[in-house]
Amino acid sequence: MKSQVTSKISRRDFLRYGTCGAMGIGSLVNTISQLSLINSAVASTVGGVDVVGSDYKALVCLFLRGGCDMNNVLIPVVGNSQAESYTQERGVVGVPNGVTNANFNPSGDNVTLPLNGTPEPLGLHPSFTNLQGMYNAGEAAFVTNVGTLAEPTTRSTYTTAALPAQLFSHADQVTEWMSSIADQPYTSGWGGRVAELYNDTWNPDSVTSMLITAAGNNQFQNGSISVPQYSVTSSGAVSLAGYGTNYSSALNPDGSYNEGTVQGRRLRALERIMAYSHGTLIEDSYGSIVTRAREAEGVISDAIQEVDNLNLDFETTFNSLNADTGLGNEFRAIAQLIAGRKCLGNRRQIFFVDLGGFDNHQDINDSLGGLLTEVDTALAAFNQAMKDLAVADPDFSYDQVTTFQASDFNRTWTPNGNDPGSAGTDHAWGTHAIVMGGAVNGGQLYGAFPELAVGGAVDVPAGTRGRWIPTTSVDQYCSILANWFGVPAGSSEMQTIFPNLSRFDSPFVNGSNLAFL
Amino acid sequence: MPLRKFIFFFLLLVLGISFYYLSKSSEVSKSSAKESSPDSSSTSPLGQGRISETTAPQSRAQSLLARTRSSEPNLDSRIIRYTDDSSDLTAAIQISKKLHQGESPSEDLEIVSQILFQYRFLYEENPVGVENFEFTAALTGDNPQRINFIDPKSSALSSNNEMVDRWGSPFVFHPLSGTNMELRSLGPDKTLWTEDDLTLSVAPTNPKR
Repeated sequence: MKSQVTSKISRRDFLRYGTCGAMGIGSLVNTISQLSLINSAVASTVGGVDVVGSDYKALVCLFLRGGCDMNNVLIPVVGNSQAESYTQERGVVGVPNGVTNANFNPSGDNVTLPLNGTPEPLGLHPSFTNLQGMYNAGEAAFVTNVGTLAEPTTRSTYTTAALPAQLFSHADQVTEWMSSIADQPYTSGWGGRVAELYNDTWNPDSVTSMLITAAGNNQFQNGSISVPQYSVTSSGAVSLAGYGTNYSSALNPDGSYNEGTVQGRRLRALERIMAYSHGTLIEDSYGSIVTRAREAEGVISDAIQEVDNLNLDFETTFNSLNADTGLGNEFRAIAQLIAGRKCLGNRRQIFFVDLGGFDNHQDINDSLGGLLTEVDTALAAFNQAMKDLAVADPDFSYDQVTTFQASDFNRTWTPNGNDPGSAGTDHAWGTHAIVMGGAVNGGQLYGAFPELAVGGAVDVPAGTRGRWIPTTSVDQYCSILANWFGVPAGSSEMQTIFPNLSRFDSPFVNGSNLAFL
Repeated sequence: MPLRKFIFFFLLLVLGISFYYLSKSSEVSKSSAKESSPDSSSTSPLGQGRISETTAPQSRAQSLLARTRSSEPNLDSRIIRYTDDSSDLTAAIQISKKLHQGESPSEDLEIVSQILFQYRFLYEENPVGVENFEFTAALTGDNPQRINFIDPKSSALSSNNEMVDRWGSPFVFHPLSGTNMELRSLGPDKTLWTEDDLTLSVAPTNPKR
């Protein structure tokens, strides 16, 4: 892990760190706004048309909504000391892993996809054909048994430790994954806090938001006062309806209003009304949001067009990998915006995409395979698009984009029924997360792979279903991502973004087994 | 002299009473510690969806029934206090008495949702858990103020420390959020995910908000 702390402290650093240190423990919002002002004061100016150049990094968050059953993603296979218990205890929801079992795998089939170099033999779910290739090629990795924690928690301290609020409930665990503050009411997401602190420094010439979502409003990117999240659709910017494709009925080719059409006059009137000062703050805010969205819409549309200028055809890339899906289209929109990043004017960008449907209490055998295939093809197509972009664009390199995955929680080790046609799994806790990209030290497992056993070393005590207590906190996992993005390890900014991080062992030291970037 | 005798007998009386209550409370704390987790030998791997078949050494209902009502003046008519510092929330107890009594089995889900409403009234959130025994424990006193919400005589409290439907299957709790819970009864076929399952979503109403 590269340390950004230098022995020589500049006057700017002294101002920034000194002031941060003097703040003490204030409210999070105040701290963020003050740090933002300080960072703004020390920001260097980037002039010229190409304000991005080759200095670019993007984080892409993929959130699997509902709680993905990661126990069926990383599977102990024959030869692994946990393979037999996997077959026996996962029962009707288990994936054939080469272990012969009279009830659940009488012919000893193994349909998993082998992973190279794991300490004990592990296979991927058979839907992850592309991810297998990416993992084995060193382009993807897993962070194992990660989850929400308020403080380090073990089986022996489970009843006395502070636990995450409303453990096992969907909404709360989603919120805590996205905020990375498991023991406090939600105020902001960690992506939003990064933007609030650093947008002015990293993106001084920004012409659109540093926070772009292809999956609607989300808590991960929420909470920044100065950087609102901007929502795009899978086909690009969200346009006003009723004005023709790309406003062709309302605007002339030079961008002026077409006064000869009803749509042109209507759009002109609308934008003038939005520009007025209004009687109330709410009306003013509404007007400014609509105006800002219209401005960003033009920028986003320009950015989307850049793919053509680079002679790239992401549509073919995605279609050829069967990623013409909801999630694939979201990833394609993100790929297009990365290709057109110079139009957006941001040197650091955070994106968000998601896929729902993982709350498989019922029919998991029918549902999970298709969902994982959608994830697999979308990741593969996005990964290929980034490689293609690196070839086509000399200012871009494959290691400038890191994709990371999260989900509400893992699911119970044992199923909730004996019928393979209807059984599913229920809410649990510690899970495995996928990280992908050129900067990822891929082909490895990070964190500590759990003992997969009811009553085992990391099982919630007193439970009967198998719920793993996380051995890596969301704070530790995400702080590695933030550090790669540019937040210095050990800085007050890192502490502001992840206020509970200091409760855990540092993820930045040798031996943490979290150096996936 | 009579004053010395009086003091001597008074101290003897105080010692006796103290000894009695100390031995009583130690029995209660031992039994409640034992009940906070289900008897592993009687637990099926199917957890929520399993049918209660075996009997735990001492059920939560039995230990609730064994409590002694406090003789101290009760200033809050909404609760009944016990000598082990636990208490009953009378409104919830009255609601729970209707479990398994109505004509329609789906009424039982409404009743469980009302009991959860009473819990939220006090704690502003639902009990935390996944398995039935975790919710049952929280609703029968394993909560910060040791308040019991369920009539210990209710047939819905199984000997396996679970809340069961009228066919004996544990209710399934699906926590959507801290205040919104989906409830499920396995229905007469006692099998999860079949057409006769009964479901109910508990609205995220919080009386304090």
